[in-house]
Amino acid sequence: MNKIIALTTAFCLALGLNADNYMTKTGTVKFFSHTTLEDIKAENRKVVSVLNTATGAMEFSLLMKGFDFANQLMEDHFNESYAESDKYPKASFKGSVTDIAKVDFTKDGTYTANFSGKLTIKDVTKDITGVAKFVVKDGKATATSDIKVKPKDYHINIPATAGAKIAEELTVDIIMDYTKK
Amino acid sequence: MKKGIIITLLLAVTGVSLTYWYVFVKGAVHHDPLKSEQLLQVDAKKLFNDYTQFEDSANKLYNGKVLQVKGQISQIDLQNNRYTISLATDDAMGVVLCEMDTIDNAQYAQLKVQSNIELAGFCNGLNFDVYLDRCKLVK
Repeated sequence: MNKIIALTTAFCLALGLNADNYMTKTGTVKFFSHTTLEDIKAENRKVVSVLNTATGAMEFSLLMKGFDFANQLMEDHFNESYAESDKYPKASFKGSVTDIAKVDFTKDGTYTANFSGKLTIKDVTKDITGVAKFVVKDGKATATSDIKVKPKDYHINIPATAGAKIAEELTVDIIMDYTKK
Repeated sequence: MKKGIIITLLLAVTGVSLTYWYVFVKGAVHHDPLKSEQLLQVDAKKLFNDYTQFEDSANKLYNGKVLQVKGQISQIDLQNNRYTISLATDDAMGVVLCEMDTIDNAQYAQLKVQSNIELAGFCNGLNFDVYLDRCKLVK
């Protein structure tokens, strides 16, 4: 059994029965920083996520180098100076939708549910909570949420010279376009 | 005295202009993988195997590098005006996923599944699939 099958199996087993799993490899995570001097935004469109609709268990992982900036210089600084993407190539979330029963995945509609879990960036893990909106349509489910992340909580050190251009708290948008597996 | 102030102001304006140009004009332009002087050539199947067998060493070898990857197209997706081309590997579940530059979309529309292609792009690493972005067709 090769490593990918083993990884996928482990991912699914960790989340519960396969029959209840929704998955995406094209999830999106965006972050936005606003200061009076500069707005900075970046987007990662290749986020892998699995959601178990029976237990609510949910995980996602992304590659730090997958963040796309409009400005190449900003992207280089992000990877080299702040995220240290060579040393810490991935970020991940492991947690659950705590009231998953509120979402009827068999019926088209819009639902809201709470989630909580652990977000890991640069090998630093912090608890996060939030509210997600689920849009169920034609057997697919799109989950969206936004959370606030403070770079310094994850040992992302911003030098004083750049501090005025980068917000102390970033807005992170999460969009997962799940299909049933 | 007056001359000194004018020179100082001119230097300040020049400095600010050069900084703006460097950060928001020259620096803003994304690197072109086809213009890279350090281009690593690799087969899609080998690239995927290298990552899945020895991820740490593959990270060091490939992450952030410009790769020229040869392989067979297993899938073509178009989402939000952006093509993503999957290259087949020996693994039933994993592919080399190439997010294409949007500039040459007309070329990608002509591509067919199962045809062989060669493209260049920036390697992001392994996250179930191996990801490359800002890819362009080599031929």
